[in-house]
Amino acid sequence: MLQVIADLDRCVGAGQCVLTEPGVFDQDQEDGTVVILDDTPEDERTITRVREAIHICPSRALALAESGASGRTDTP
Amino acid sequence: MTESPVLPLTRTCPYAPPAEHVQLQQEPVARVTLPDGSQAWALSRLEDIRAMLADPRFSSDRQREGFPLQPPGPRPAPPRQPMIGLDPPEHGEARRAVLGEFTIRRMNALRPRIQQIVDEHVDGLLAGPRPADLVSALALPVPSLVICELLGVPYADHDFFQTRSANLLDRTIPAEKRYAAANEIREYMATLIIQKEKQPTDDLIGRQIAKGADREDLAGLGFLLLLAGHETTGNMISLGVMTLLERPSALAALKQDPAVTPEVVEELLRYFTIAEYVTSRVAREDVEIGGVVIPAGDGVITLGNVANRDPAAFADGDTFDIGRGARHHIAFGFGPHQCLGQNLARVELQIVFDTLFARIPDLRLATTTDELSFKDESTVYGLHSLPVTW
Repeated sequence: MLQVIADLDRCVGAGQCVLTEPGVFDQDQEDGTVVILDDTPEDERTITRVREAIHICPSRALALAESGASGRTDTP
Repeated sequence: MTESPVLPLTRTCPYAPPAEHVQLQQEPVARVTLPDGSQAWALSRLEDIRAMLADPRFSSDRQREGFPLQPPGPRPAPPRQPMIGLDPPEHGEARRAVLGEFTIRRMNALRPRIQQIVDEHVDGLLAGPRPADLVSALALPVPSLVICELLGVPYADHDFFQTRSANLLDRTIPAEKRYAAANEIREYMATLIIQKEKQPTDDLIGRQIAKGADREDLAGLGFLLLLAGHETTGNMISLGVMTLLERPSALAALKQDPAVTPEVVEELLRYFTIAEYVTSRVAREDVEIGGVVIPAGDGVITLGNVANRDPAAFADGDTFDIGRGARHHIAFGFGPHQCLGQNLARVELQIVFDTLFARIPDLRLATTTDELSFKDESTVYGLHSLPVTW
């Protein structure tokens, strides 16, 4: 099971994840930082778009990790 | 020690980076001499530029010794630079204070008003003489009006800051004149803020005042957003119209299916990368990029236009291809400073192209591209005018 992880301290609110996969990502309306709507997407196409969002995130604030695993992440 | 090559900053063809920049991809981290005689490093690979812009060891501080492409001579130091020139932790705090104003949801909420502004300007274009200048009739006033309304700046004053914005970005005019232009916009903002402190308004500047923003910082922010919202989107509108009028199949695809428009916009952004030098930096310590150690204090120029055609990231990057999926381009920069207004720009560009070509389907250039005058002297590439007819 893959889990979407966001580092809110790194996030700069560019919103590129929301443009890429609005089913998984949203923004806090106060400070613009990322809100994860679904942290364990299972659909392959959604996961592909999550990986694209990870790649284009300008602050490298997103990652995909094996849930429950420690430290093994897919970072950009 | 061989002389490093002099790096030209001007494009000879609107659809291509300077040949010398393309040449530099053979040496992706290159020591170069800038037109003013100073030395810096030039990066031309997408992954190197992304790594550099995401690395906090490179500074955005325009006042730091070694920061490249700054006007020569002594510069008047403002109390604090606007966001674009700040490093962590100040940068994060300043950006977070306004992020809520630029969320995707907020930008989408602006669509009806932007649509109205675009429609009014297309009405004006149709009611006016032919040929018309698309730059003064549509490309410049639309984003100008949008940013003025968002900030709460009277559009009636747009001539005042348009001339000063152009001066500030013009590399060919004396530094003191450029600094004077910056100071005049800043003073204008300071006066406006004092006025809004007395009579509160519900706009970005008014809301920042209500949040207790520092007056000097807010003047700098207003100045930055006004400038950035003015010059960039306007230039992309005119360059985009020119490009689409010369590429009938891309234009036909856009007219046929509104779902294609965002892809077209993304490809245009990649293809022109109009503000590539804005993402220059200076090294705060020795840092290795692309296998080369850049010493502390050295400036780094980002050749974004070449990087956005890097074969490692974009197959056949010199070709304008609306089907390529160009979203990983760096036309808006990368890292924590990535353009705050990028999603506003996307919305504006989408609405302008959809509306203009739907309402004037037989729009065409009233001249050849050879006769067009481009902003070769400006830090932000664009067109001085674009004669069109229908």
